[in-house]
Amino acid sequence: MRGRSATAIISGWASTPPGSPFNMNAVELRGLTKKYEDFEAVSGLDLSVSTGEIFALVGPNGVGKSTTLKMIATILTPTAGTISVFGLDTVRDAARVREVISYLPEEAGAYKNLTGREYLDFMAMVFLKDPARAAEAVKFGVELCGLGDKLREKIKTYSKGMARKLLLARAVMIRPKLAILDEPTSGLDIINGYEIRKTIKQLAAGGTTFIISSHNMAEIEFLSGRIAVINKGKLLACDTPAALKAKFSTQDLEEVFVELAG
Amino acid sequence: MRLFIVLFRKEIKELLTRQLIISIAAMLFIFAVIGKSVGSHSRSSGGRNSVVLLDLDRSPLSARVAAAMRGAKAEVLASGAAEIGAALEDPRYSGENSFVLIPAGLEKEVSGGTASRIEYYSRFRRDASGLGPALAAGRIKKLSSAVSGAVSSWLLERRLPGLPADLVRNPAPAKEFAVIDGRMEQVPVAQVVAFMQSQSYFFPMAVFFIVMLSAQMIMTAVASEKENKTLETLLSSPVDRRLLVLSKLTASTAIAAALSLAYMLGMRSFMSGINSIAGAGPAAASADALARLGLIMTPAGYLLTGLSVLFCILCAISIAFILGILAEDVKSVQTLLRKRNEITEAFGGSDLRRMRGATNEHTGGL
Repeated sequence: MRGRSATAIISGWASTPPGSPFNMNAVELRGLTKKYEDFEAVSGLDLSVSTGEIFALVGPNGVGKSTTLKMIATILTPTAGTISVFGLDTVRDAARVREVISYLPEEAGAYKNLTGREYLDFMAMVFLKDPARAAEAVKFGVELCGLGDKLREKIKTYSKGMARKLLLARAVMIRPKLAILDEPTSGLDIINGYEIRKTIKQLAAGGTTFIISSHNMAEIEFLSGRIAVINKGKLLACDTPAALKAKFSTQDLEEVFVELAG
Repeated sequence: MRLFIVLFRKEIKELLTRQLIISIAAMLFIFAVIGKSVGSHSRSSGGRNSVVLLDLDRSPLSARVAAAMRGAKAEVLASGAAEIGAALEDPRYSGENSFVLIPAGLEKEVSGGTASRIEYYSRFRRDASGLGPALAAGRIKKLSSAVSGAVSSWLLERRLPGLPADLVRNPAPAKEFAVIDGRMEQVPVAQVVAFMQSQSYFFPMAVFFIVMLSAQMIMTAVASEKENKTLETLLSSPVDRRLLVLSKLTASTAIAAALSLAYMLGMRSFMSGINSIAGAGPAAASADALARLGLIMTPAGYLLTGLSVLFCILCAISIAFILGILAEDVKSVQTLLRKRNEITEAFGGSDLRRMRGATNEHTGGL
């Protein structure tokens, strides 16, 4: 029952914009709701993410994290509420939103008959449309994924980790203003996961905003400025890991999570 | 054995989805409808057993020939027309498919020791399924053997001296004509039937395979994009979604076009193979006769046929594209495809046959 009181205390802060060095929020969720027939996947979510922030959605499986990310990525339309990405509405200005975002779905795949390099070339053109900019992005992507000569082989020969590295490189090589990464390091080993996290941090320092979802509390703690704890489509808490730990008088973010979601 | 049953039950449970049951029910329904329509068509075209007789000889022998035809269970309608063209155009016989002409002087020629040829005319539409003409060919065979027997007996009863044995054996050989859409050519009906059947079965069959192939291609392409979540990535990209659809359609159509081109080339060599078989030996003239009847395709005919196949594929691909979007994954594509194929086969097959008829009409005279 402590969980409920905690919710009552914290939910009031959710819509409060955090102290941000930037004026405009990168992403604003207002009363975001998504219903599937008689099931409400997301109910009345209010969040703001500031530019250059690494914002994490945390919660058990099937609580609406991926649905929220898909709505931000303009793939799903909200049943109610609004999302604005750099001041653009994701429903009305979907086409313009797509020019500034990059979305990495959970368990995404790549075209198996293309080589890694061909995949990066293709995606760079699809997102950037300009050959010169695309070539530059591919150069960055090749460096990011660290696959080396393996890029000349077809993707169907890749291991799960290699494919994930390729997809992540694809998602960030175009230097989007907002990167939406659903479980970015799932399936990666410790070293690869670490490198990816370092890259995300570097890019964020360069001004890219990240919204990620994750189950990995250590990763969240390392990466995120703030986290939003979600359960059953509702926001339970939204703050920095340190503040949340202080609030629940624990050194362990997982304990906070269990307290809130349990 | 027990383990086998466990595995077997699991497989049945996996395979027997609601979609499959609906698909089986739909298949039963569609085939019942096809069967009904084909049945009624066959009754109208092949079920007739009447023959229009033009007796220009008006002799005791010709009367006997008519009696022999009645004996062969044919309903003989005597026509007073003086020549075959008039009988064919006679509105009273517009529904008749078989005409027999007994030439003037039959009795005189036969008794004089020369064979006289009785002419058999079979009329059918070019877009006939092949069943009607096949029955017509069978009827002619039956009639001509009855007629031949009657004339032989007549000759033997006369006990005329000095008749050649060959004449007695076959005093009135059949002279067969095919009448198709107002064109008349002397050609054995059996050959026309074989040719028409090869076209009307081979053609829809081949088209069916192309349609299935290209539709499967695009449906799998769409569904696997969904399954691999590559579609989500593309949909979140700034590329115009219409462009995504267009590129997929164009790519599949290009491959389908290559397929139909290969099919056309194959069809050409297949047909020239048939034609060269027909052209070997005494039947060489029949290839020309078939061409004059408008049954053999010209290059322009091939082109038109190729185009119609291409458009048929385009239609199928568009339907398949929508089904691909509706399908949850690659596995359910298979079930959906089956259903769509039944529909295409039921409607597209007969359309194509009609189209082929029309194609020949436009190019037959070239």
